[in-house]
Amino acid sequence: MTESTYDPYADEQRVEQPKPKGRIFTPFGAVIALAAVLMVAVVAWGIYQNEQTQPESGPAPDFDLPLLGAEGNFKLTDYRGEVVVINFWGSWCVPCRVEAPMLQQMWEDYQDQGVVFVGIAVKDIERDSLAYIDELGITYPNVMDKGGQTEKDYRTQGVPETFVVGKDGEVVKFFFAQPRESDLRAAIEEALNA
Amino acid sequence: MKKLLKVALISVFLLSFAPAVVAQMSGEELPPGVTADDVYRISNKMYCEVCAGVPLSDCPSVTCRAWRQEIARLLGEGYSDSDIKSYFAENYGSAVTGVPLKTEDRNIGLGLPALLIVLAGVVIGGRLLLLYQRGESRALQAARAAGLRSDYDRPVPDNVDADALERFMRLVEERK
Amino acid sequence: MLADIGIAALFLAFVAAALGTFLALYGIFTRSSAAIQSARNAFMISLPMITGVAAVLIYAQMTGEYQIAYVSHVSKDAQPDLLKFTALWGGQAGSLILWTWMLNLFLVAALLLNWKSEHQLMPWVMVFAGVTLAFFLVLNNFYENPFSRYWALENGNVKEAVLKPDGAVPAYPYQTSQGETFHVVKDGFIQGMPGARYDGRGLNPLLRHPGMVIHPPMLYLGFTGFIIPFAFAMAALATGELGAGWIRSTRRWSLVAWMFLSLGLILGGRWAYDVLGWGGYWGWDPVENSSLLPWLTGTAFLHSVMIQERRGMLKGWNMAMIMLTYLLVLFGTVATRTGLLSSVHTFAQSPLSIPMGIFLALTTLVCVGMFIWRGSQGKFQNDHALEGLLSRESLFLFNNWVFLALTVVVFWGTWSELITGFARDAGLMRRTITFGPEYYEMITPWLFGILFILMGVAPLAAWRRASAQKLGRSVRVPIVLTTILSVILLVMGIGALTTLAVGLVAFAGFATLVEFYKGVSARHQAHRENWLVAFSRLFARNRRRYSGYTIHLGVVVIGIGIIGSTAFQEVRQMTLSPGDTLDIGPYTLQYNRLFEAKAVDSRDMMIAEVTLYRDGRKVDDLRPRQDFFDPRQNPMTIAGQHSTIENDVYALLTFWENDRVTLRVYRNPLVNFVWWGGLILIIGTVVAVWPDPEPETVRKVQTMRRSAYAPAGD
Repeated sequence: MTESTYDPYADEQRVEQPKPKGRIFTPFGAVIALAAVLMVAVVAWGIYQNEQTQPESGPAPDFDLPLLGAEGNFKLTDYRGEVVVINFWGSWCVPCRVEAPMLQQMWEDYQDQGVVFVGIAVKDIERDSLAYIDELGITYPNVMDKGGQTEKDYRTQGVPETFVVGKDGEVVKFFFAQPRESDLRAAIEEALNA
Repeated sequence: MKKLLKVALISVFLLSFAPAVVAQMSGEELPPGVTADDVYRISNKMYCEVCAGVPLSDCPSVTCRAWRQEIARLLGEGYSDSDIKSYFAENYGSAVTGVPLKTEDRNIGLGLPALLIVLAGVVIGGRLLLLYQRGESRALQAARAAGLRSDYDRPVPDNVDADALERFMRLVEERK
Repeated sequence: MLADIGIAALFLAFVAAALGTFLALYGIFTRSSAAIQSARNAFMISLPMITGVAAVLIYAQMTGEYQIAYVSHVSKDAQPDLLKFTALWGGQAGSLILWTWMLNLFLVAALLLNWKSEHQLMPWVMVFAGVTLAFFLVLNNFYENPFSRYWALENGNVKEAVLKPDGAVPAYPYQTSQGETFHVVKDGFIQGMPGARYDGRGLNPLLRHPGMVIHPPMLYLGFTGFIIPFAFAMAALATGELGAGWIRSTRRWSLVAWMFLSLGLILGGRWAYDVLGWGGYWGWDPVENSSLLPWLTGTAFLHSVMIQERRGMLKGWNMAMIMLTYLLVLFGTVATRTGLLSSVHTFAQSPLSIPMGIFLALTTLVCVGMFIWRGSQGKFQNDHALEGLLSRESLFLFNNWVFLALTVVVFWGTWSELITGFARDAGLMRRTITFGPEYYEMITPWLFGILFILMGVAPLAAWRRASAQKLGRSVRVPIVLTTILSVILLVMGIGALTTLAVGLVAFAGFATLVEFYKGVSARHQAHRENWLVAFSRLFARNRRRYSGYTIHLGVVVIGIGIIGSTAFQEVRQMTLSPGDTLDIGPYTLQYNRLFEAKAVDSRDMMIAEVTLYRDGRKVDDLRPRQDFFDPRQNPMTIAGQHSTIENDVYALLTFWENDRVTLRVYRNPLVNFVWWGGLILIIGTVVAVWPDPEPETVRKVQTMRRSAYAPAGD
């Protein structure tokens, strides 16, 4: 008799189960199904986002941020037709200080050829940023990443990171950490000649 | 290969950071009239992305130290706690506070779970009522109508261990 | 050579698991009991294979086979032996092996224990648990192989690969203060660098704590343990046998998993308290939340399942709850292992994302699909009607609602950033929403408060129909005791909200203690047993009920600890010169000096020497310190702790300059209750799941046969 499993409600099973109504989704079931599909979609989206890295081609995400030490904003799409070099930095970041003079020099070399440099200070305290700009003698425009969204749009992993954006607003080149001077120059030339 | 290169670059990157990263927590210069307890009170309820899961007050990174220093400075200038929080939220995104400060975000953020809870309550309450009114299975109803023995009237024992009862019933089954 | 054995065993384990799953399916559809039997054998074989894999990996960690990348990431020569061993779960690849091993262990345990009693369900249990096992073995073999090794290629580059590339020779890491380099080794030394020993990077310093030795395995046992209840539930859905069978086995297995999960949560809290250095034990961090979520739904299930056991109601509900529990385990695992939810604990971005995402999606959709399919067939119909709106059943349902509400709150808090990010990309929202601890602290205490009321009342209510009068009479004593306590607290000047919180927790405690007293005194009078004998017999006769009460008592004690350490916590910080003092509550801390030291495992320590006085009398010496393991990483802040029943004094060294230090000192009243309550809870659960000794069963049956339950004519 070992094969018979005990069922305390065995009596009921001797009676035919009546046919149920032919409804597939009860409200309860529908809610569960919807929630499940939604969560699967969210996870899929999240995994896709996670797999993405800094844009190395395609349109550069736009931003419209307040200038540091000056009135007004810097809006990326206002500079269509010019090459834009975007540099993410922070006053607390040591490598940023190291590369800053090179960027300044590069800007001085190219500012008359339709190249715009813009620095974006991330997670920074405004007065620290201003002191940094002053100390290093940076004269190209710098903005605050107010709200922290631009940093996310460019999926930066830290600072410094540099993007070269072509005249058509497409990313031409991305530099992780400090770019070598010759590499940055080559990228700018490439963008200018495109 | 590209990934490997990236990993290598990241470690170089981190290395170049080394002297800066090993800064210690707090040690901010406090303006007159501001105590470390004041800074802690605010920074303990704020968060920075650098230290996920740890409040700003306990994050050892340089960025966070600068933030705490700024809190101390703003306190010295007479800003209130909530002014400072909204100032940071404005500048660094709403994630710096534990609960979003913007009314719209608050309404969505707190309203949605509330709505879901009420919905769950309706579902559960509905099932309870349904069970109360017509919970008896049609099979059982049929069985009772046919005069078959049913365990419906079996008392629900509460003073007997359920496991023991179960084993006992199994024994009875086997004896049949 | 060693790694090759591991690679082979790991692959064979995968073959066995895949074969077992296939044979089980084949056996089901061809009704071949031979195939089913072979499937069972396959899973019996895969277990020793994975055990072998783990053994090889541990051996490699202990003996320093640093050619294996995983070993070099979690072990090094100077690491203590215990930590070389536990390094198995110090990184992604190794902890996944542990995970798989536990999955297989649970499956084998279920095969051995339930093979006969649930023989109708077992083939399907093998299918569902087997698919999961095989999937994790795919990850182990092809995505995160722990035996991936470093190779020096002919062109001079170093490559990481599982199998030896053509013409490559083994390469070993060499650690310098600048990072690591890879070299070819001869006779144990690096070629071209006489006397230079190769070495591993060693375990992440945060994980070098006794709590980390057993916290992850317990948590993993909790997580993987839910595979068995889940597989039983799926088997019940597949066979359509939704009666009492699957519930019977599922309840016990759920309790086992729940116990490990609880233990994992408590140990995790202890680890955070000792190591993370912020004076708390629970930070509402995504990883912590991901382990709390299945605990919440699991607890709800353990309550609602009783309704089905006793009354044959809520079949669909229970099924949904156990599935939800397992899916939350899976969602949490995927989210934390692939870095979807950012957190201190997260493993770095990994190649697991896509396979794990696909597996998660498939499992979720199959689960929900089968549930809806069976539901549409009317398989979840109740056997009985609810007879009274006030009854044990309805109170348990209310309990389920509150647990579900907590689940919603915690889930939304944890996942909101991702969900609102998704919504923002879809154009439904303007900004993403993220939550920190305040969000949970704002909402959850109220819900937990309701649970404590239910904890006091529900066990006193009768099944089927409870009379309000009778129920009122049985809660009279606890209510009187609670009122007295609350008045005392208010007179002592404690705030109204805190008094309310303490009152709710105390009410549950009093109600439970009164139940114990009633049971014991009834035996004491009826059987003339002395109190101790009466107490132990009470347990023996009605183990399930009283072990449940013990668990409730544990939760009450934890509740007291949580209220004490949050509502009455004090924090002070000050910058001190030698000889300066800091007052906190009845304590005074005097800072004496700051000194540097080097520990055995070569970490540098900066230690502040502090003397602790209470009411002017010296009670302890504290040594808050910071540990520096590696210039590339942040230092670890280790607290100086002084622990008594009443208070924990928890001192952190946060900053120093010359001989001036900044100390942050916490006074955490009653925090030890959290750990003790945890211990009581675990003891209660062990008693509840402990298998019955046979003689007792016989005796019980005899007792019952004499009682009114004996069927006539037997």
